[in-house]
Amino acid sequence: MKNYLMRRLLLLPVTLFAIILVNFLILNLAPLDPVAGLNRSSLDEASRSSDESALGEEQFLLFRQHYGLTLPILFNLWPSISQEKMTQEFKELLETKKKSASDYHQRYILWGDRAPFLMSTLLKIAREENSLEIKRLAINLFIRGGTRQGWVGPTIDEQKKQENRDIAESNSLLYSLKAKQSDNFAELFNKIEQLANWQKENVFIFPYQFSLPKKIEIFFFETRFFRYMSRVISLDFGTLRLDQNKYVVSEVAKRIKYSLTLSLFPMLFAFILACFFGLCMAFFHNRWLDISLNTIFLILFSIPVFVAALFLIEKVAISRDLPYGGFHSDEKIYAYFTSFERLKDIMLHLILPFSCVIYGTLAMQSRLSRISMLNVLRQDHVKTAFAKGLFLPQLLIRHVGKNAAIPLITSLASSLGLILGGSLIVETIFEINGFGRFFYDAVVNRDYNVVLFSAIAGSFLALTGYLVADICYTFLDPRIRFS
Amino acid sequence: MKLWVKFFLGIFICTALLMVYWSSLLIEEKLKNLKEEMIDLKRVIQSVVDSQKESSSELTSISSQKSRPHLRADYPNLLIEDPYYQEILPKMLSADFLPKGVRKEAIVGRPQHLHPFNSFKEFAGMIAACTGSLAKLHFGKYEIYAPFLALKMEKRSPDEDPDACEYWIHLRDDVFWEPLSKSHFPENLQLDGHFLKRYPVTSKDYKFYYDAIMNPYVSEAKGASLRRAYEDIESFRIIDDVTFVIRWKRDSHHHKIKYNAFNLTCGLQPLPCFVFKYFADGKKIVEDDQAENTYRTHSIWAQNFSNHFAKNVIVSCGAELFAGMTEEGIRFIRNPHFYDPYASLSEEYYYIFKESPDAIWQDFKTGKIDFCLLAPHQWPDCHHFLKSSLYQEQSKKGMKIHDVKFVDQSYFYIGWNEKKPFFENKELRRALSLLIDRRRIIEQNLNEMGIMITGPFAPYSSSSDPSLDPLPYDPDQAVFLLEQEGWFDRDGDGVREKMIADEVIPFRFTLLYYIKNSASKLICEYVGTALRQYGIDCRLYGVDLPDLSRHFEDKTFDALLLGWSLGAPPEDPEQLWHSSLAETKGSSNAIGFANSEVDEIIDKLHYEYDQKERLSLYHRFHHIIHDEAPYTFLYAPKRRLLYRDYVRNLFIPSERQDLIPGAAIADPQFNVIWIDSL
Repeated sequence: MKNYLMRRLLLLPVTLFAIILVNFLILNLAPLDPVAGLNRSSLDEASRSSDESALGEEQFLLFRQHYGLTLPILFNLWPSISQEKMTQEFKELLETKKKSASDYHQRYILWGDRAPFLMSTLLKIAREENSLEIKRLAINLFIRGGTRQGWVGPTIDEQKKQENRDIAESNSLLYSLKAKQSDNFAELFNKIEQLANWQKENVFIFPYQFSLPKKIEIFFFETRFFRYMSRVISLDFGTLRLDQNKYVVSEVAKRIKYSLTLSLFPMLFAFILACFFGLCMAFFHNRWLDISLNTIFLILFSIPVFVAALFLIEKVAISRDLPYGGFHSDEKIYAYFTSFERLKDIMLHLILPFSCVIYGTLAMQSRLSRISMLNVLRQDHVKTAFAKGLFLPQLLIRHVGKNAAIPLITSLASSLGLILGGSLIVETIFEINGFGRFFYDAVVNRDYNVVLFSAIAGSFLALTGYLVADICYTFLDPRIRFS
Repeated sequence: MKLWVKFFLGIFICTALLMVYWSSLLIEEKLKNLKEEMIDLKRVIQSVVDSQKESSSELTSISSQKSRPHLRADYPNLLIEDPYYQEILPKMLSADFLPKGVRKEAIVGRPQHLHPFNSFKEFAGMIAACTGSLAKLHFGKYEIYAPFLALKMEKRSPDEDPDACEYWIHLRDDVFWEPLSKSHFPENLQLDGHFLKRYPVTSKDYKFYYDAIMNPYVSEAKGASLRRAYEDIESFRIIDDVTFVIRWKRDSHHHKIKYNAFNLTCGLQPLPCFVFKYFADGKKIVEDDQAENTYRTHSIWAQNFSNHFAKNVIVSCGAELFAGMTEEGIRFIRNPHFYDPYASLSEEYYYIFKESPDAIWQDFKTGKIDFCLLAPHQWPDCHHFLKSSLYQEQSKKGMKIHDVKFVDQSYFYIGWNEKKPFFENKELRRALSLLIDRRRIIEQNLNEMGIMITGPFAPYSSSSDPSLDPLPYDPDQAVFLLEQEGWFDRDGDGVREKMIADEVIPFRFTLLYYIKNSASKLICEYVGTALRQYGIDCRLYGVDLPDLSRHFEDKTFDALLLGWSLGAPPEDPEQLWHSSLAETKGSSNAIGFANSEVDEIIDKLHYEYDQKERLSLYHRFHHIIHDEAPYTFLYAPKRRLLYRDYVRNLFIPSERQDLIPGAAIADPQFNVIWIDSL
């Protein structure tokens, strides 16, 4: 048993790493660029204001830097791109501009991301190429590569403050040197010389050439995956994409009360009730109680949640004045309630969503429990105990319930990972800001910090659930051995 | 059995202990709130004392030339007092009128933040209500401005350059930034005492707003969008705390400043220096900020501005004050210190965040909110509800429902991406428009809640040429045009083909739409079926907003169904129709429309001041768009706004010419309504 547990615990981080890697790859293969375009009206129509201006290419590059999307996903080979290849690609890029705007933007943004690793080559191209267009492109990409982000927030030391001052000064200088369409050859030449001087001053940050060890370091470490993993190892799951003042973990913690109420409690409550109903149905097998309960559970099982929720709102909440939106009453009233009044208020608000979450699970688990109980009830040792005249509750709990609980525990353990998934439909209909809606919005908004956290935490919970279930088996049935 | 008793007893004791613990937490929380309220009360008393002192001084008087050395009586005020606010509204409200009641509305979605550059329409509106601008439009009218945060605006020509044009702006000196409230921030954030004082709104706050817009490192979409609008400002000079000067660039060819310069100047807002230049601990973000253009160029400040500690509150100086945001909604209260008593007619405003229009409708039925914009599919339920016993009871309590119908300042269209081979040709685009029966869409998909449109302007706008008729539904003519362009079904598979560059191209494309909107989905399904009947394979692709935005910004769609919400006149067609934006990522000219005559008209409109000439340019532009058919103009939506009986003064200005002669705004305005107590 001890060995088994050790093996499982050692396998846990490996499995988690594999899950993170797969999820990270899938997420990063989807387009992650932040979009600012369209609005949602109060009638849920997609529209945009006709007097809104375009953002421009530079703004999109800035966006990517702001959201940390400028690095390659797994391996970084960018410092090894040759000058010939770059010149050729720039020529093609300028050709593409005339044909397809979207292709051009995609490739321009990619070169913008690569620029910090190719500063010297960009300067060489700007110097050596005769075409003014290519010179302009190389200068602007050089400036893009040299523009750095500073340290944010008040809690930075004097060294970082100095660094911020240098970065601000350097960024301002670079911005003033941007190549304009109207610049002639002499003006561009002058700008290139100033940029060369700038690189000379910043050679420690942007070296003329990368050494082999540096290239190897960049190959592994200057990637999105490494940056993410190094944060995850220190249990820093990052911030929300749209608000960097909000941390993923604290946002999840804020919603725990909702999800405990709408995921964990219904699950446990349904488990206890299902054991009870299962036992009743099995004990009164093929009699009116069994048949009627079975029919009721069959009907409940087949009613979709969204139908039941809307029916309950329309027929119960609105007509009987039962609160239904949110977790509790309006904050202004709720703030003045005593703890008992608060408890009552929350319970009133949760009657309907709780019912919606529980009825399907209860119906399914009860039927599962019935079958499992029936199997055990038919076994010889139960018949013998019954014939011996053992006290009935003792027989049902100790000899039947314990043995029949194994399939139910398996089902419970497998659904532990789903707690984080929340109950999206119920949360949406009843306006409860739980995990379901939080993670759904994250997927829609491409908030990959949140999505990855949900994958990691969900997998961790599921793996832990299976481990706990395995341990439970040994307690429920001493014949089970893992050695 | 004893075991069971112990078990339940244990559970009971644990629960009781938990309840005791919870109660102690609540008591602690209440004590904290009490302390906060005491501080607030102290501040209110202080502000009352301050305002009494201020009112006794003569500082606020415009006639006090002593304190206004830069105010010149020989220059007329470009801002004209609004007779509606000066005469009509005071007459309608009794002398003892006191703003009361909570105005409750619901909005779809919730803001991720409340940054001053939040670009979502509803939230940008809330931010504007809390800050205000230099001038405000006359009630119900366009292009006429009344004084608001500015007392006077003068147009002067400097002595050294008589041809140049400068706007001299004289601010009110009785407008103040309200202090931040600790209760609006997380408990772990230590707010410095610097933020807990009232500060006057000065010229520096306007300059700061302008600098923030022009800073190229500010990454908010709205900042970038405004940058383009204000890039023609040549200089921004602060004269003193209540006076500043804006000089606009003159065009070298026309020797004029842009026609829109005055409107843009009137729209300038203040940005609180006392908050956004600082960290929460009261230290400056940029320690050495003495240089004039520090905030225009500083990249580190821009980074901190995007992630500022106050991005989840609205620093207020306007008619409404931000009073907190929770997961459920956002609250505002009337600013008791605001100079204009009629700028806010309710005591409190509460906006509830909802997930869908259906959730809003449910809340309206139960009386949780005062207004509801009804979607076409909610009509049957509305009729059913009006007959219900619940509504009869509500009516007796003074909650009768009224409605107002109006044509929205928006339109819906199918845009054909002109970079795709099918849609390059204007005859083909016209053929597609002829195949779509827009009358049927309005009748069957929208319950008659739309009107046919002919072009890119609001149907009742003077810019729209009334002589134009919508393209008819004429499949025969469409088939003729398709065949004329060489599109035939040669292989009998039901889809037309054409030989382009030795390759057989079937007429097959994807129509992109917003999947969550049921009306859009129904319209697209109809369009797909209608086009398929005539040999055009239109595949539907419904996506959520981020994907729709991405395809729109990258221009990677064939065709898409979308809406434009129209800005206030003077209309500027540049964003949608100028060829210079046809290739720009993220531009509103997503279909890649390019027409040299249209470019010329747009450029002329920028510098044309003669109203007659402007109108003829707009009409010519409308003709070209109608002829080119870059979009299939589907409809302008009609809206039905429901409101309760206790809501007063909700009307459409353009329908009340007796009250407001010359009113042009054709949708209800919420800033003059008030709530009567039940």
